[in-house]
Amino acid sequence: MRKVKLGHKPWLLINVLHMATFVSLNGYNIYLIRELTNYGLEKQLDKMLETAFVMLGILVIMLLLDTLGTFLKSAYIEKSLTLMKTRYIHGLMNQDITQLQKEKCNEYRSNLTNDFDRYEDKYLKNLLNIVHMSLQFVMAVIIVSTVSFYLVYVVIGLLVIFIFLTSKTNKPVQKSEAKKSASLQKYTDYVQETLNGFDIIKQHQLMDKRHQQFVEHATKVQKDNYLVDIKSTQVDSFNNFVQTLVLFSLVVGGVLVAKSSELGLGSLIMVVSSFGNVMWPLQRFTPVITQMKGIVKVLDEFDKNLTRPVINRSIQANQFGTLSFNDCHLGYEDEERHILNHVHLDVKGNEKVLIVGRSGAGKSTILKTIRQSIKPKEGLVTLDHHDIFEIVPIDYYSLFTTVDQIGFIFNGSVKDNLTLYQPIEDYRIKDSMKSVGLSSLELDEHLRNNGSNVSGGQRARLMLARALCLESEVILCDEIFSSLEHSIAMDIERDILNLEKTIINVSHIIFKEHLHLYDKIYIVENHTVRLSTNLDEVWERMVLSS
Amino acid sequence: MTILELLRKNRRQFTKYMIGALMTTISGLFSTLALSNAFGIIEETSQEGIYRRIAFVVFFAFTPIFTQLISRLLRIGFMRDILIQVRTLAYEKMMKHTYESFKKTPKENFMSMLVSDINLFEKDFFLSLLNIVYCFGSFTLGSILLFFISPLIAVSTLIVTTLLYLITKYFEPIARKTKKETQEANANYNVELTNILNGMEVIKLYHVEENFKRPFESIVITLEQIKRKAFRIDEFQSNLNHWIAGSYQTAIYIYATYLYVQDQLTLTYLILVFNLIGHLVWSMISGFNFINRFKTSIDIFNRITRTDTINYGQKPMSFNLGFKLDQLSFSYGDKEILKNLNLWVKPKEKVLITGPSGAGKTTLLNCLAQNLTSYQGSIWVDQDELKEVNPDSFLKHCGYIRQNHFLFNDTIRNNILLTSPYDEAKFIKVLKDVDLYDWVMTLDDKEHHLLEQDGTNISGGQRQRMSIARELYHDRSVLFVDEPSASLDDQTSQHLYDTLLSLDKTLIVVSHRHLDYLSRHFDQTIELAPMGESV
Repeated sequence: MRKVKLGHKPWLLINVLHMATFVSLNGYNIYLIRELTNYGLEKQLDKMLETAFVMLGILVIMLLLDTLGTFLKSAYIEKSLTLMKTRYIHGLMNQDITQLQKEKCNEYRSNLTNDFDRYEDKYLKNLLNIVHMSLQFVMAVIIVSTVSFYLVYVVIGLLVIFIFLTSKTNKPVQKSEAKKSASLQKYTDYVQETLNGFDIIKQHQLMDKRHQQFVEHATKVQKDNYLVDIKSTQVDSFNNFVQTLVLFSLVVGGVLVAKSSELGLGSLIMVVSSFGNVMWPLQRFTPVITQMKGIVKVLDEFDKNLTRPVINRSIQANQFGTLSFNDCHLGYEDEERHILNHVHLDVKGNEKVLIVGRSGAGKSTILKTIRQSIKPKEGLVTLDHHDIFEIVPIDYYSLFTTVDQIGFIFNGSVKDNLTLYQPIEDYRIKDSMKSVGLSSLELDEHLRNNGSNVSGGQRARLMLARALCLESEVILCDEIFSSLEHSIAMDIERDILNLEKTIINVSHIIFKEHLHLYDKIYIVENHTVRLSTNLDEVWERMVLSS
Repeated sequence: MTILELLRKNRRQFTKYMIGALMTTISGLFSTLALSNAFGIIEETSQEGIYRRIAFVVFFAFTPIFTQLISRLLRIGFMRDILIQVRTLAYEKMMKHTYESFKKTPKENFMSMLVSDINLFEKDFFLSLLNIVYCFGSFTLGSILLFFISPLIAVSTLIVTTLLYLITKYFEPIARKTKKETQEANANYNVELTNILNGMEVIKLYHVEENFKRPFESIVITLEQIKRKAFRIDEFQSNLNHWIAGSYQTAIYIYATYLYVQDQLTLTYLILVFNLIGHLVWSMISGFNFINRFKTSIDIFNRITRTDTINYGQKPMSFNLGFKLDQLSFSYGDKEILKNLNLWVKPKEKVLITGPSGAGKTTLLNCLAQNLTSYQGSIWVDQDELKEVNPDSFLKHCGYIRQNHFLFNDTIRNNILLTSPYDEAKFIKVLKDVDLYDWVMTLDDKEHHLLEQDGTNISGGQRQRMSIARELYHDRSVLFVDEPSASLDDQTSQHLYDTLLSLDKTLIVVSHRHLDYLSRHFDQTIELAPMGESV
């Protein structure tokens, strides 16, 4: 991504050329002010009016250029972002399958939204500003040099002093800024605590005490802010002082020189105008550059997210025999504690397995391990005696289809959504749909807005039908019942259990009537998993949380 | 409280603020005077005259720096005071919510109100207020000055300003519309992006990347095109304003030079006019923009502070006959949770509620605990409908052990006592009742051990027992308990249940475990079925 950090280069070049033209014209107009003033001083009315007409003509051209500039600028931003985002997307499409799981997607999403937005504001738009500022500066130097080269040195010297002095003054402000953000963090934590403990605070009527504490936190924030304000007021005044000093020394000095020598008043006005034009923008030069340098790091982050990990797995698998957890301890890589201990679990081909447990018991940890989002902390998970992390990823992944509440439905026909554009005969698609109770949908029916025109139940059924069409060996159901109505959920479960597939259903909602249809039922509780053969016990255990 | 009431309440500080803001109006004018006097040196013939001009320049150039300094110091005190009050108002608004209305709003909303919205208000309100005073103040002063130099220029400046105002007004609805479009486009982009990212694994699995490249790219292209339109409109308006201002300034300079040639204007005034025009027109452009920002900041203020009045019940609670549920029903939207439930909980009775997930156990408990009031049917507490009972009085009678065990960032003792006075014997008894005493004694700081809010330094079971201990210490006559043994082992659970059952209180417990044991010890067991009929 670093290669395209400047965005769409041809459009950038066009913008630079345009800005250069615009700035030159503007510079010429300032130059004409000198002519006009000098004619005025010499009381040559007709020459003065002639110059005035030229100036007005230039103004009209500048309006046209301005309008063109708006068009060019917006085109540059659009083309650049499209270019960069497309590049990102292509990188994403080339990613290894192990990197494309749901958990990872949040990162990609925030790259493609927030991070790119920040890049647009802080880099691309600033880049245009910087170019504009630099061109203006060059123009000012050229204008001043028409008067005298000696003056160029004076002006640049003054500007350097100005920038040097003003850039040094920010230190004390930064210090008190840090203090302010610390108290703001404490304030935010306090608000967070209040939000989390809202019930308890209300129940025990702690409102008065909490109110008082809140006011203390809020006061602390504003008092620290006040200190920042005082510091920055001092700094601003100093900067102002320096600026005023520089500008007026130049003006008064210039006027005194003009008075005693050949330097015309018109030239002086011209120098002051062009100098005034660049003075303020130049002060912003350093912070803008720093900001741009900071934000470019985002691109490195992008690249990091898009590098394909080196995966050397050689064992091939195209059949699902037995998946086993052999005394595994499961948990997250970056956490020390184990979520589940001593997990023994076996799923054989065509078995219907139910994994139940309260929310938070660790059901999804098992699912994530099966899907290779996390590695077991101890012990091996094997498929037909091979460690699943030794199996070629695409082979392993294509054995499973996950059905969850979200599911991927894109704008397109039911058929395309089920086959993902693979050549599959219509009758097979219809069969799949029939076996999951989707006969009511037509193949060419259009699914809109990511499937907002289908119900939650139909959505789950579409996912199941896709799994059948694409002939996955195992269907992993991840809490598909929780947002469905009771009767619909029951119907879907019955359909699933009738499929000739391996089913692993992970759920905290169970139906007593269907328990006997499962080959195995595992209960997840007390940080482990155990096989249960007593259906009544399962029912009683699960008559639980709300 | 409206913003006006808030300002009136802080009128002393506000007056200071306004004096400070008004002081800034002279700064632009003074700089202009300084510049024109500097050029005026050329016209001076005597040495004395030159020195006098230089003295003017020094005075006019450096006075604004001091006025700005004083002005800022006058203003920031007011900013501090107002922001403390706005934060407090927003906090009060949040705390006015009932359990029910609080749960309806995502926590992130409250968070953004109390943090980012206030930051936005801070940024916009004061900046725009100051700039409005500055811009319009210096415009008025400048126009008066200009009027004395050349009435024609003064009038034409007014006309150009009006023109700029009309342009701003004209673009306002267009800009607002495109802004809305951009927001919608962004929202759509987010939705579609999330969807396709969720599908990436499937896409990869079946090697259909090529088929999805174009739809994926088109999401980006659509967004960028809409954003471009909005950007263009913004840029166009600002460019147009700048062009008008710049051109007008040039035109006036030409006219002023003409007047100078005709000897109707001195050099000092020529420079004065040139600079003053620039100053006036620019300040008006930003002045108009700040009016909109000011309006937005007032909207933010209203959003984060305006409260709806909530009518609480007024009757004091009496508890001699117990709770009587009469045909109680409850639904979340279309989803019926409880239906036609009848129940009588007598004082000192121990009631167990069981049932599968989704059967409405916690909902029932929340209805009884006055947390949910949008039920159908009635809950009677003695002779009064529960909704009419005063919440404060209700809370003096009833305690509630919830499923989420919240702990404050405070010591163990304070987490249990909260605001109640410390009674050592009672405190120790409570700790022993919930089997926490031995653990607390092993800690270095004993009961003064500091707990973290997210509770990372204690286990789930300890958290649960802490929150039970808290309710036991407060000793209410009615206790609602939701899943008290969820993260406890069997032995601790048994002891806990024994403790709860031995209390001389009304006890209503939701549980799913140890059912055989429990149903023998409770006076009444209610089993809820998923659709809500009591079995």
